[in-house]
Amino acid sequence: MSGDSSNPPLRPADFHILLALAEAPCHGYGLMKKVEEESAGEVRLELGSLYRLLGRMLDEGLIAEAPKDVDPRRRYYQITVLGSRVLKANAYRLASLMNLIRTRGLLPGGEI
Amino acid sequence: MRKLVAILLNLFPASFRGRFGTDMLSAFDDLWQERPGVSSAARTVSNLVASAAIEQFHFPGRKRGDTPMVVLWNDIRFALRLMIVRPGFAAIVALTLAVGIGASTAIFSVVDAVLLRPLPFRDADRLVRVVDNAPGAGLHDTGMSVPEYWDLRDRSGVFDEISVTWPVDANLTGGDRPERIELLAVSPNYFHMLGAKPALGRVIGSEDTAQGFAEAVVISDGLWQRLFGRDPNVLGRKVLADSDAYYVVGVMPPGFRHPGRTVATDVEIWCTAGFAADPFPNPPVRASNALPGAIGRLKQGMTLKEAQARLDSFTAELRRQYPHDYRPGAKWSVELEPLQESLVGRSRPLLLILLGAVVLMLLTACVNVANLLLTRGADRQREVAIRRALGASQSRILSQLFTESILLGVTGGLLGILGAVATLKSVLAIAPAGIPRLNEVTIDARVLGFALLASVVTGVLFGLVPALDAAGVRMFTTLRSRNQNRVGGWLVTSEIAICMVLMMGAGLLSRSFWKVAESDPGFNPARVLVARFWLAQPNNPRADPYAKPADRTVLLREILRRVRELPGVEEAAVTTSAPLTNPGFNVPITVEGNTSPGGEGLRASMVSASPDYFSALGTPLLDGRFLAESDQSGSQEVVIVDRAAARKFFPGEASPIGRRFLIGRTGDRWVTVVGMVGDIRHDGLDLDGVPHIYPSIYQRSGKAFGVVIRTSSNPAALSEILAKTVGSVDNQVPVFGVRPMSALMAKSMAERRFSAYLVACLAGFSLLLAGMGIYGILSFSVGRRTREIGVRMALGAHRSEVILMILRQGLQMILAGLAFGVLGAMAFSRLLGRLLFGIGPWDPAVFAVVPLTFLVVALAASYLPALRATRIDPASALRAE
Repeated sequence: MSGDSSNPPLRPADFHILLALAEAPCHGYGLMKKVEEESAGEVRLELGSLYRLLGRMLDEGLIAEAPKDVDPRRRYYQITVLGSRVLKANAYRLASLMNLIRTRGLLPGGEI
Repeated sequence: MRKLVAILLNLFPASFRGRFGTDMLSAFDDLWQERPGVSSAARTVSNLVASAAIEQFHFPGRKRGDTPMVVLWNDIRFALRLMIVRPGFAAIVALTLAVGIGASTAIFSVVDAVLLRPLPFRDADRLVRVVDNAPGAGLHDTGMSVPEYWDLRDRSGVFDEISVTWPVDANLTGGDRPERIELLAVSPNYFHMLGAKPALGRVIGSEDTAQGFAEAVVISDGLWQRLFGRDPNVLGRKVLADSDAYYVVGVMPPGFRHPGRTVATDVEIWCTAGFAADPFPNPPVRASNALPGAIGRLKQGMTLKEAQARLDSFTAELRRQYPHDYRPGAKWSVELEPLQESLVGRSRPLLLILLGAVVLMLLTACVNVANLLLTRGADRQREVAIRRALGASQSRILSQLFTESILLGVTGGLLGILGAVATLKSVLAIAPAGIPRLNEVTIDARVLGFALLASVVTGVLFGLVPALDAAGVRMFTTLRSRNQNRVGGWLVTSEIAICMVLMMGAGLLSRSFWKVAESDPGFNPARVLVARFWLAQPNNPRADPYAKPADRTVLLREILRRVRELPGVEEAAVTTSAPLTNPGFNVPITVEGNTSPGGEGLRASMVSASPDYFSALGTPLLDGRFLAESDQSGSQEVVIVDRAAARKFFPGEASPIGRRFLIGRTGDRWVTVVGMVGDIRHDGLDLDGVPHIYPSIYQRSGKAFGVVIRTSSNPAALSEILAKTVGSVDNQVPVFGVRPMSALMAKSMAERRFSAYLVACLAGFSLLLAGMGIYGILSFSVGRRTREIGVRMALGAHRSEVILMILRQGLQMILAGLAFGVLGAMAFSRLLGRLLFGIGPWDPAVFAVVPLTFLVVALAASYLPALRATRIDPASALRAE
């Protein structure tokens, strides 16, 4: 994973999905709830949209299906190595943005 | 709710369903358990539908972040660039499509205005025509009596409003000369019922209720222009119609047309009457059908079926109440016909056939363009291969190619719309007058929508085959190049087949037209001139100078005397209706001594005539004698019959001379047959077999007359002086409709000529396209077989062998197309129905000549590429590639 030129910023929904999965593998509805909580209600994924995004992220290799032993009734998804890297790269980008915001006095607090 | 979600899952593509189907259902279970409720359900359902739509049209392999709109815009830009690079190609395609879509749009605008759009009146779907029938006596559309009208209005419970409609010729006098005008007498609620508003002044309303005729009249925009020069002070002006005074109270807007029958032209004056005082019988009699027709509006919420059922029981009630007036044997009933149907129903077959023909032509254009794209597809192989290598999926390539073809289609469509707008006026100018509502034809939003739809569908249709081919979808064989040739061959074959169907249709219509034109009308129209005049019917019968037949005889004899003195007049006669002008008077016939059941329904068309009528027309006398001057009122009532009448009334008898019959069902005015003449096609050149009877005009006449003269030279030269002469006898009598018989005959064939001409044009264009298609595909094939031909020629093949080889390739396609085309024509030609005359739908002459003609054209189109093949230089051909 080289610099930002080949890694465009993630959309909010993708970012939150990766963020949620980075903590632990989730299943469909669990992911919906977690993303809604963690984004403070900004990203609300309905059923159809969620699985569309999951399908795309699976194709891109950012997430993968978790092994079936956890809960046989539901399918769980987990983040991949590639996904972790993309998430981290985006996290760095956000962090540097936050620094810029703080130095301009838009929010309290010093540099990170 | 779970079931609903499961059903909605079917909207997703199958691959998606396979991947996530069960998962989504179990996730939904979790969701529903925690958050049931209407809003949650609504959000889930709408999101599922939207996501399914996005998934269906989501092409894998495009850049992350590209919405469908961005993709579409890129495709369009790319397609435009291709068109600019090859302007000649794009121009041919666009022009071909422009003609096809333009013609379709023009014809659709006519079909839309005449057949589809509701009539421009208030609640037009509830408007009906009221038709009285007496099928037991063989009578249809007999009109109604005044008491019956009152019953329908007040007691039937079927109509919101109902108005009498009575079209009449009238004399407009008081100006510098008398004018014949078209008048319509209506009930006071006519304009209110139609929701019609005036352009000036007011319309007739309930304040104009009167026993007889009211004084208020409303005039048309046309009459306001013609007679009053659009004078804004026309309101309150006095006009004299049939010697009675009326006052103009309003002027209708230019687009307003009476939605029903008139005598000859559009209605120019509307007046109203109660029909219960002079000149009508007072009190009104139920047995006399004085009113020719009525229009009504059904009550709100009542369907036609319900209204008809209600009306049937009402008429049954009336039949019981008045058995003398409604005899049981006649089976009198009242029928309701939707007003729009009564107005346009007759034109429907013609218009639909024209629409079908133009769609066929558009299909030919589509196939031609598809072939063009296909041959050009060979050039794009490289481009497509590169794009595939870069990761474009098949669906991606397909969608780009479709965008291209749809863009071409829309471009052609826009050009076509422009063409249609520009030529619409001239198309309407040549359209036959018999088609109603032509004044409503415009190119409005709906027509534009049709044009746009046609462009897009056309684009998809002609883009289908080339796009599939370019994207690598194999259709007939696995070899790419052979595939192209095969597909192209089938395209041209189908183009030929469609073209054949069109050409056969054109051939059948043209042959029918010629058959009518050549058919014997029963008289000799050369150098015959016709004029018409009309004697006024003033409201007060005592003020009518021509109330008595004897007075009319004096007038007619004087007219004939003066006309005969004109230079160049060889023969002159007077009649109650000249051929191809107004129809004869339809009367029932009761033959003497004929009590057989067949005798019940005998009818004839009655035309009164003066003695020289038949010699002026050149109709032969077959038996007995012509009418004579001695046949006047007071002497024996005589009549001449034509051959059709003799056959029908006196079947099997050698001669009808001396036989007697009654005109009507009762009475004692027996007429004796004194002569028999040949059949005259009186009411239309394609109508024969109608029995006619010709009483002497001095014994029986009405108020409408025609003058027929045979001239020694050009009849048209005498038009003015004939009109003047007839009018000189009584200057209150207007003369109109002065025409040479040849013009009347042409007008009677106008519809046939129009349809034959239009379909022939469409077939001609189609033939051009088919020829181009054949030329194109054979040229392409020769281009690809250059090496092979070079080898053959190097090995000593003669030019003629090479030519034959190419021709044979073409012949395969052509013969297949001809075969399918003939089969198609056989299947569809029956649809021409009423438009055929004198020939069957599988007329052998047409079915032989048309394919032969096409074969000649096709061989000519094939010959050119074949010739090119022989010019191939073997040496360079072998060196190339």
